[in-house]
Amino acid sequence: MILTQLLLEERKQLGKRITELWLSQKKIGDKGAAAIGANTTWSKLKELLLNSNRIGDEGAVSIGSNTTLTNLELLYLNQNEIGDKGAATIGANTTWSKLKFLELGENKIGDKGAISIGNNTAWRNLVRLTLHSNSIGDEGAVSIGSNTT
Amino acid sequence: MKELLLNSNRIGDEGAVSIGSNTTWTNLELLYLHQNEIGDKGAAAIGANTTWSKLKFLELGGNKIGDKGAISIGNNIAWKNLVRLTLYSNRIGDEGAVSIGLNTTWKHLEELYLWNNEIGDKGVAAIGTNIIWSKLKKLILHSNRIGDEGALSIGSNTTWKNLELLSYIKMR
Repeated sequence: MILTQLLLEERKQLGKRITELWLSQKKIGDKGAAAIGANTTWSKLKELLLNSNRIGDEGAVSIGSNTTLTNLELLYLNQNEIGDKGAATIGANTTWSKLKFLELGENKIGDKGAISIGNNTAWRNLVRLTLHSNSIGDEGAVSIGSNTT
Repeated sequence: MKELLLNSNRIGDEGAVSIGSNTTWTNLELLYLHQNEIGDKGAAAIGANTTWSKLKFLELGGNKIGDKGAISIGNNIAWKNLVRLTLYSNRIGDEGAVSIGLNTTWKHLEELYLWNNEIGDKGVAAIGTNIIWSKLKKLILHSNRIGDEGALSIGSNTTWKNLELLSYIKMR
């Protein structure tokens, strides 16, 4: 019992030290992404690479809802199956104030998702935003173009 | 914002006008809008942008841009650091090409892609007389409506000492 508690504590401490999590091309689906999004330990995480997986809206909603990743600078979610619902939640995130690189290309994002991203006012340090190869039309582009953050 | 990649979507004039009207992205270096549905109105707004003085890479190929849009782009005086401009597979004719050829701001231009448009001898002649693009390395003009006169102008240019690739095959 004590040993189990010690192991759990050690895992928790280890989680607090993680700064990079590279999980590209790992066949991760919504379930896995949801678990990653639900993590409340990785407060020092700077880089989260989840590109080229099978993540859909459910996983993206979980990641977008995360409020622990306050130091996140790089989030790769390109080449997945994220639609408007997932993108809208990501756009609504107000925690990632240090975010510099957000990659969402090659998903299934339409205007609703792009509008939410364009409306985000928290990502003051964003340097690179990729939304290529989605299904964004004028409404989404207007929102992005109107962003003053 | 330094890099914004919005290529291969369904963005039309309204979206492009909004992007072109943005005055916040003073550090923008790369803007990809190729393979969308942008026409003259959108391209004109982009060309009229005076905020993106650090812009290096502007990709607008595969849209619906005609002379009016190209004239606005050619008239731009803000993009002093522009290195690559792609306008391939649009509807640009002589007037647009003349405006681009007469641009005196893009002193760092290295790559100009104008293939698969409707440019004739008059437009190419104006490009050939450009003496500003001394760093030009790639000039892609094939699949236009260029004849001997245009070719003569390009061949007579003595400014482009760094030219590595000139694509000029008459395809139409």
